[in-house]
Amino acid sequence: MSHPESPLSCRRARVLLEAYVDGELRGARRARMDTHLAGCHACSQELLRARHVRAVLRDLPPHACGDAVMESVRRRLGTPAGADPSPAALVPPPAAVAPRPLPVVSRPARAGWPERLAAWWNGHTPGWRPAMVFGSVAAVAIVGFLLLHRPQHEQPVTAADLRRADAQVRWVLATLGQINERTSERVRTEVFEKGVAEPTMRAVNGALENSVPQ
Amino acid sequence: MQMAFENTVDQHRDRVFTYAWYCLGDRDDAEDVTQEVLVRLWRHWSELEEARVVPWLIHVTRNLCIDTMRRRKTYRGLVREDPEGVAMNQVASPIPGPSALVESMEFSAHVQRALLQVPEPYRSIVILREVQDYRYEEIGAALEMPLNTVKVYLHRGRRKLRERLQELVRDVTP
Repeated sequence: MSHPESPLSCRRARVLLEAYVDGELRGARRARMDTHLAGCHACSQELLRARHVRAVLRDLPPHACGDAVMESVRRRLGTPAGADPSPAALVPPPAAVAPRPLPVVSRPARAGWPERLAAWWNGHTPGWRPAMVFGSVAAVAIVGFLLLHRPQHEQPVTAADLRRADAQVRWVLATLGQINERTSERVRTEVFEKGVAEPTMRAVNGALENSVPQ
Repeated sequence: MQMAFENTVDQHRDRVFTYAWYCLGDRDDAEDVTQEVLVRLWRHWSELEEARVVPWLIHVTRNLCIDTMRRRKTYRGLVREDPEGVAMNQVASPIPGPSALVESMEFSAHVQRALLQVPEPYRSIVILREVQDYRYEEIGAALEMPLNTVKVYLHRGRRKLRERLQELVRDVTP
């Protein structure tokens, strides 16, 4: 960490530049920045560019949403084409409708597992599905590879075999991790950690523990 | 309630569209996103408190913009396409602003083009703060980030924007 009294380096000045532009530097930090900018042509030019870009951004105009968008919205919400687009023409959301008393019926039989699986699948947004499919396929592939390549007649697994398996597992987990970063917290927890990563790790560890390196 | 919904839509639809426009750089995509946002607003209208409307609109608009960007990447993986070929070629009709302090239309176009190359979430934060003048608290609530993180990301976003801009100007300058 630099001493408070020591001059700022250009690298440090560039890091603080945006905060300086926004007037967020105070006291000694601001004074050091002022001193550096007074004596550094490159950084002072960068300051001018930063201020200029910010000014251009703040002058970018708003854009008008055309009437066609509202017409499309009304069509989707159930207003007939050409009808008066007044508030009364909008179909009220379900919560606004007075609830009718529910008829008393016997409890329906619980849906079978195919129906429950379909309901669970359709309950997720389409964006999840490729990631879930890929994760499942990757887990099946790695476990299948390990099972298919299980040594015959209890032959010992070589160190090369272990290195190869380790590399493959790392590749799969790294790829899952990349998908992991782009998906929501719910997908990370429910799908990858509980449904894919943990079972995969257990299967791989079990297979490796059963082999004896030469 | 319907009158309140219509008033809210009138008040916010241009801002939703503007955010989507600068985020995606394409009028058609921005209109599609805006339409979807407003439909979802109606469907969630009874659940939303007034104070949550703005963060909710920003949050949903951003998610839909990200979905659109992902679909574009998938499409471009199948069909080779100039990534800058579509963006900024469709110019929406701007509402006349109170000032016209842009140094040149060309530089402004470069800034908008460079903005499209800034990754999320920096791009959104730059748009929301610098272009649309949302408060840090509103941005933080919408993007579910602490205030300091919004500020840090804003600074990073502007820095990345200037880096992209320098590359762009260098590529364009003969």
